[in-house]
Amino acid sequence: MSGGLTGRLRGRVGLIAAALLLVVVAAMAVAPWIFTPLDPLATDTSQVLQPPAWGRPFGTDQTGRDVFTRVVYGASYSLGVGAGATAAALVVGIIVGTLAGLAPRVIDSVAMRGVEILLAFPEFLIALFAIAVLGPGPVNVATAVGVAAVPAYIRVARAETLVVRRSGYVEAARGLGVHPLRVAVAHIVPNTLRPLGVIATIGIGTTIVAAAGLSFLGLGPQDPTPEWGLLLSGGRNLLGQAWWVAFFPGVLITLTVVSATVVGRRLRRAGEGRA
Amino acid sequence: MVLRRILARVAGMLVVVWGAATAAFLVLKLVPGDPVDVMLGVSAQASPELKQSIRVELGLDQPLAVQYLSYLSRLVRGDFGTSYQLRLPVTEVIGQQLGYTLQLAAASLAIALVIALVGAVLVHGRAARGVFSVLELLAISSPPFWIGLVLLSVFAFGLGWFPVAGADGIQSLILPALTIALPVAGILGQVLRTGLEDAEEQPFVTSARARGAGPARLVLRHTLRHAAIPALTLAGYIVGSLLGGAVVVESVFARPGLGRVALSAITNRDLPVVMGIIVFTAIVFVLVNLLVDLAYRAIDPRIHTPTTAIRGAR
Repeated sequence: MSGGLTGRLRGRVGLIAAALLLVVVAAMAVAPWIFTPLDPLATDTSQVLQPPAWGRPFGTDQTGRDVFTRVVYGASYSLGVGAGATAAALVVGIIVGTLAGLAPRVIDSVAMRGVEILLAFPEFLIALFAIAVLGPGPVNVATAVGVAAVPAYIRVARAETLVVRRSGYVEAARGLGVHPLRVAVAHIVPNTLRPLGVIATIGIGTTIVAAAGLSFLGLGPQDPTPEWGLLLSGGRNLLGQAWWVAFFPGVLITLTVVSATVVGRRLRRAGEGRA
Repeated sequence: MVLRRILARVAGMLVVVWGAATAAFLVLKLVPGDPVDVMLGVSAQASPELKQSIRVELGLDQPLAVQYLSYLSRLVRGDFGTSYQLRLPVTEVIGQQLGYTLQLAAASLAIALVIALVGAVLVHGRAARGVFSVLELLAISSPPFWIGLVLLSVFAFGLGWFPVAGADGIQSLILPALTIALPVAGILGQVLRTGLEDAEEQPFVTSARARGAGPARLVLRHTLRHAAIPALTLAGYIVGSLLGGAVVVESVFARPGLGRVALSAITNRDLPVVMGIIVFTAIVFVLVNLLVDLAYRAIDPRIHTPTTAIRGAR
């Protein structure tokens, strides 16, 4: 009995911690100056490669820039790409998925065949192929991770559409002679959004890691930009002398992604419980 | 009958490879920028006449359809073109580096399988399973390049157990392989555990227990087989993780390999190499899918082709 209770409590604590962390990271992205008085680009030759200490919790890098400040300012790029690419992928996924769900069977099955093939690959690999085609650059990184995320949303949007299109209110709207486009936009799409929102929450995490990975490889923004993946690759050559330069940005990426996953899974379970 | 199925299967595989080759060709033709400029480099000051002669030499002045057909016919003959950057045939570039990446992928897969099996089969009890599932979540969520950097900083720079970079013997293989293996093990472990828990409730387990099968025999002969099916479905995903992981890990550990070739080709817009790698990846996936299908039949006695069923009846 008590095991179940502490288990539930532990789950609750994890969920609250995860949600809180997401709020903090979002705050960093929107208003970084609340968290640090320093400039992420300001170099200071008297403070080169200083280990973590009071006042500079993550230490400094090889040009004396404060790593904590750079991580805080990096949140806006990483979270921006994560949220932006996910939102764009969600919109494309809803449009294509809804159309596939409403289209004749032949078109639907051809489209789904392609989606299934893409879903068999990790998103990072698809993003890498997209970059191979588009070429490197910060905007292309956002596009590539967005493209990689689309197939999952198409699949869910289509599956939901197939369920919703048979429901009474859609039949009723059709029977009343409402224009098919209006039926799709006003009646079908709104009722498919809930499960899509859940996977998008988890998807933001995946997208952040993929974008950071591409930046880490030098395919995205370039040096002075405080971007999480770039901070890590800058720290790679300093590992022998200054582990903190690469370590802390990675901790923040991991915590953000874990939090998004925990919150997303929780939402999914809540959704299943209701269904 | 069997011959016809094999032929259909081979045709299906060829269609996928052809599709990938065509997609790569079309998309890369749509990319803005003149390939001749890419070849010569940004700084080069070549005269328009020289550029035109290079274009003619490469057949880039031909209509798109002609270029496509000659591209396909060269592919069939195993000619993937010449790297702009290295001035070597693409097949040679890939061939030189393939061994390193294969080694890395095989080692990663082996480590991931061991970790996932240990986690799924041997870890019992609520608390231990809870801890393991948190570890799995962490392994899946952490960026692989960060795992690599942490391993590097602790075991290579800190403890000095492993070399910091390079590909020289088994010592230099362990950390890179572990980096790729951890996220893969996380996913595999989750699927295997769910599969095992699901198998516990199957009627064949009850009957095996009734026949007096002990726990070890039960897992090895019965439930693991059942759990392997959903894990096998992930084969394509895992191979993708190994390849994507290779790109990142070879960069982190300064190892030679296909990932490095791919990265440098992408950064420098070395289009023949990019296309070669896309087609090569498609071939790998087609072969993996074939192996997976064969493995399904070997693992699950319920999946039988008509011919083997007849043979079984005899």
